[in-house]
Amino acid sequence: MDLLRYLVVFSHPSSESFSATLCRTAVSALESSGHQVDVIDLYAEDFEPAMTAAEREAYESPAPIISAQIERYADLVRRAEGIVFVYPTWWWGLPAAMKGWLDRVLVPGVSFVLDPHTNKVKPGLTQLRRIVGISTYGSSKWAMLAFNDAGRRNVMRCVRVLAPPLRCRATWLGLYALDSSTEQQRVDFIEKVRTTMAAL
Amino acid sequence: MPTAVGDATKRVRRAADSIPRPRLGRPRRFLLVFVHPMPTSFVAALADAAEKALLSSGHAVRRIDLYGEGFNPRLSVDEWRDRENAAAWTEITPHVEALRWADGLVFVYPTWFGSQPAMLKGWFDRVWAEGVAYRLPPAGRNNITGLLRQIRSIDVITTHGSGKVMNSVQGEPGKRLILRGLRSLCSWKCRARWHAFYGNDTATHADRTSFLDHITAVMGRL
Repeated sequence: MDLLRYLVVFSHPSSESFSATLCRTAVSALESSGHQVDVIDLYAEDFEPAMTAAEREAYESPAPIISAQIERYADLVRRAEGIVFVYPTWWWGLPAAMKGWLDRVLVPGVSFVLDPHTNKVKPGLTQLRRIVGISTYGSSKWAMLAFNDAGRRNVMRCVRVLAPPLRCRATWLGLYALDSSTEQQRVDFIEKVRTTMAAL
Repeated sequence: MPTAVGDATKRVRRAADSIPRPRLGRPRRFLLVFVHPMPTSFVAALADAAEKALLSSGHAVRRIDLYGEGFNPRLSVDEWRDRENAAAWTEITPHVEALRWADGLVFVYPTWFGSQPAMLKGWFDRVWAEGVAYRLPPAGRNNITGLLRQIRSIDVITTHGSGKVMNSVQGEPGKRLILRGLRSLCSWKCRARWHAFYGNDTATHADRTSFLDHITAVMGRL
């Protein structure tokens, strides 16, 4: 097993939430097996989700990053060999803070490059070996299948197409029907997160 | 009476005076949600074209410009704790009122990273709250009940930087979120339509102009 450098991105307004417990479990499990882990807590770090007009204007220029906070996140992404997303699924998708992190941090030059001749996207996350998504849902698994899990696609497909197709593996861990779940189901899910993350 | 409605009504009357109604049918109430940081963008031009086409058919239109009004897309911890009273948050009250007023929704936004910009996703997270867009099921069940049953149509006008093939590989999460997800909270007969401009990165000026004409035509038929 190779030791990797992991980046954990966490988005939930409350540090006492079940999602926060999942995040702490994942981080400690990764650290216990010797991986190096960086954590970004988007709410605690007051991350503004909306891309600004100045950023949009700079997006297609050679220097799309114009703030120190985004530069720091972009550096972590460039160095990460594994990315773990931990969030509650709201309206079948990512919370705005998490979506804004993708919008603002994974810009050209970080996660992809626009080919100067054809202007088409070329993958840029060449060092990425592993993508993990950990999420909770109010809906049941059947409802998510019927309505489609937009958040999971955002992470597992939209981010993954920017990584090397054969070398980067993706893992998804979801707890469905959270509102009607029993204490035992939640404990079991935490255990599942712990064992899965420790075995990465 | 909020001024936005008054203005819209006046504009509707003016438009209805000068232009013959294209078809029979009662005037409808559309809520147009526009999301782009720059008012001079192609997306803004699309929003203008859609609004003008709807007004010229005699419909009432309310336009929300999320960037223009500095909407905060982040659901706060207090809001999260007090979800069942979310509609009472003064910051989102006008949005809730507009959502209840409308019988048709029009979203105009650029697709970033496969789905809605964080600004629009945050509008869903905060405004489509409990008691506004849905009611929770009785204990032990999971399927929510939609409350926006008066909404009869959803039209999405969006631009994609990459082409159709790349978007298919990515799975079009933004498209599914609205056409399958949000639609389920609206009328059973709600028509959801997707007007997308793929390949904006490689498009020419003529491509964009013809898409603008297309939007004017399809929105004018509503």
